Amino acid sequence: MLLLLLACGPKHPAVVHTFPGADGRSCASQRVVTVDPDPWSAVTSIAVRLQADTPAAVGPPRSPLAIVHPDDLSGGLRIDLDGELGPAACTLVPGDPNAEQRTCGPYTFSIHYTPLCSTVPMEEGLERMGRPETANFVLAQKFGTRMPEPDVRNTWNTLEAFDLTGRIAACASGGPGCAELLAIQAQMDRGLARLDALDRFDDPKKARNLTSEGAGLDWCPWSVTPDGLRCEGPHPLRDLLTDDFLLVDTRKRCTVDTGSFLEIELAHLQERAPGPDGLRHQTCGGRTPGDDVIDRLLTLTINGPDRVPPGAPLYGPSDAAPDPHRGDGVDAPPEPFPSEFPWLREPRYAD
Amino acid sequence: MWTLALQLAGASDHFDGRASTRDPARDLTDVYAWVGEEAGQSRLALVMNLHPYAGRRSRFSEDITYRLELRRASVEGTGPDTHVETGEAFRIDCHLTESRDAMRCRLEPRGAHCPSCVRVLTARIDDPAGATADGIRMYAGLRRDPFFVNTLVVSRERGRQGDKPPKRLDVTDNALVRASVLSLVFELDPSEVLGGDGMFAVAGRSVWQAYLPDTPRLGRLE
Repeated sequence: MLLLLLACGPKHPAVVHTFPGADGRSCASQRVVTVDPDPWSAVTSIAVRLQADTPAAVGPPRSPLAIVHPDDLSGGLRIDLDGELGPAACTLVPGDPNAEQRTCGPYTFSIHYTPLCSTVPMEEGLERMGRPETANFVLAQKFGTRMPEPDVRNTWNTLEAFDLTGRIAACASGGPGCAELLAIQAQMDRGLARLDALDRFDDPKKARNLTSEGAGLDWCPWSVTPDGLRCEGPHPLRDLLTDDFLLVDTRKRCTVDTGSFLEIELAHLQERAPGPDGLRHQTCGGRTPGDDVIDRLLTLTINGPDRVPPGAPLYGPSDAAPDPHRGDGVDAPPEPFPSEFPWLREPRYAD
Repeated sequence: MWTLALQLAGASDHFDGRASTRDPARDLTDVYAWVGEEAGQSRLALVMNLHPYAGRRSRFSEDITYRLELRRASVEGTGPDTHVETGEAFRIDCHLTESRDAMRCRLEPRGAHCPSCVRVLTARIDDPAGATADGIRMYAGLRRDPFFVNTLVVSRERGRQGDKPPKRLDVTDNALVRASVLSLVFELDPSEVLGGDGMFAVAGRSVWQAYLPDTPRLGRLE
């Protein structure tokens, strides 16, 4: 990575510390000073000056002398002046031909350091969020099994949101990080299949034969084996959800509680006919604060694509209620959202 | 704490993973994006929430960059071949100011050198008026958690994988009814700020940044 160093500006002084030096000690003795510079600065030079009227000299920096990492700062940064300056510290004493035996006169140390900037910072993703419930619902581990599933959510959180499917596709020939990416993809398939199969409890007879066609695996007809007995291949929602972002269209309007989550994606998935404006979707998409995304996700993933009245959208703003409606029993917040900026209500504290 | 985390395991993106649970200031709970209208013009609303169950003393982290990234997008294909292509990118990066009483956010396009496109806003924390400049309005501070979910039902849905049918699904408790979060809220004019209306992919991130020089690391002296 090419990084360009820049001084951070005049508010960061370059010369910060001046220390009195040892007087008359042997150069063989070690002179160590402790300084307390700002984190993420570089010690760029050490100047040594004789006191009073003796000529001054500046020791050349063995650039860079140190990069000050925040972790290094407990107790200050220790600098071995003799080690850094070598003979330069002692040649300041005039008239002594023998460097090994010379003593150093009284002098001061000036530690120069300069806070550094780079135009391209090094960064580490800590957490990411696009669509709700992808991490906690779809990628969650199944507990209580003989074969523990991996918790891929920490890795998931550190990845860029965009074009994850492209990165995973490039893993066909292997590469760094591919094991984690493929584990995420596999867990996505497992999670979606589990959600799809939850409605086998609607019909106890189906629950006895979970692998046959129609046994609660509603997304299965999109990826059923030729014998019609098993589902195979990726879940149809897998790649859509893997690229983890909200899709919003500023050509359409919503209110603060429009049910618009996933509407754009599903309009294309269901091959909805374009409207007069040429767009298949009807809302702004994205996600509004008042949208009941839990009910939407449960109904979509459990019911599958076919349990809607003929001609009705999979799950859209004007569709008839999918049969049956899946939900958590909480369909709205206790109080409506304000219709004006900043749209969210005053805080309320549990503590 | 672990019990609480399990209880909230189904709550949008709250407590999603061990690292986020340990450091709530990095834990993004929700991202919202929708389009309202003002004077006949579309206004894109963006909300990024973090810090589950924030209290009066909860603060944004001075070590973290809070980022919203937008990319122009188009949906290609239909049916099982549906996929999303993304292009021109914009980034909103927010940091606490040195005084820690305000949030400074910088919006700029990515991959194009355009100094005149950069917009910088600074809003005092918890000031409901926020800050307004150059087609953008922003707010930073504590707000009520807008997410609503019955985690008992959702956990039971997740927990009955192959075990037992659910006993009842009529519980109506919103687990987040008394919860607050730290919010970053933006309202922007797509025509003025993003170069026009259209479809956008939106995601939020919390990022740790360091400004390291391009020089070999010597390590500690001595």
